[in-house]
Amino acid sequence: MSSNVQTVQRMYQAFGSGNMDAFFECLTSDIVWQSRYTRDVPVGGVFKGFDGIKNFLGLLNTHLDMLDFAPGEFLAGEECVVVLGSERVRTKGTGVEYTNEWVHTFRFRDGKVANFQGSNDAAAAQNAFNPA
Amino acid sequence: MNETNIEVVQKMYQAFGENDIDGMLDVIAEDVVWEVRLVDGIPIHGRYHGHAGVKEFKRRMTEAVDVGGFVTTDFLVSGSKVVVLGNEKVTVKKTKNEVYNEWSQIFVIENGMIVAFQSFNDVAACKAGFEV
Repeated sequence: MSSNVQTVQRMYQAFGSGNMDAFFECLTSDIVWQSRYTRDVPVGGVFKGFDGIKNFLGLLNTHLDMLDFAPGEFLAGEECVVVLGSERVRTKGTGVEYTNEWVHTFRFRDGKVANFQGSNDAAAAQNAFNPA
Repeated sequence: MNETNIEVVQKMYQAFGENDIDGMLDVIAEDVVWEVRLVDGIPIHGRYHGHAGVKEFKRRMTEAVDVGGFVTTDFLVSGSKVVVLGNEKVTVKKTKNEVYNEWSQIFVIENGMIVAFQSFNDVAACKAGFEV
């Protein structure tokens, strides 16, 4: 298994167990973290550096309950790792529960994640946060 | 086999780029599920079924945008899946806006034919480009 895949697995595990020191240990200090949603979904945007990530995690915590987080397949490229997975979430404001199928793309520098892109089921999220 | 699966995807891209629908369908299974993940209001968003669905997708794409640059950066393989990372510059015909879209495309290939396709896109950029 590539060490980059192991880094991603360590990062997910740290995230899941709330061990934020271990989580940040997997990221470069100038990390660029992109969470792709439409602009009317409050957990979307581009977040930079550890402060940016803390801001992003704060938004997640404010707006979503994570009911289940399921990384599925890990694919290793030469300079990147892609993970295909899904999560079951509930919006805190509107109380809508939905499954988000996502793609996580990680790019590395010196063995740490320097760039993250999370692509989501933007349509499902938009409906959940802005119910008719 | 993996090399072959990447070749199948490359054949599809080449035929797509040449507007060669028959060439595309040569490597796409008749019962394909073809899904473009954007949001309502963007005319190519949605799930298309079978060869008729792929033709409809291509027709909508041609009607909606001019593709000015299409770049693949990474091919990742795992079993029957090929994940491709890349980007494109498109001009929305209706609004004349230019959109830079970084995408992730997931192909499932069985017996040399694409049986499932999913594209994840920069939904915020596309939404702004279409002004919806």
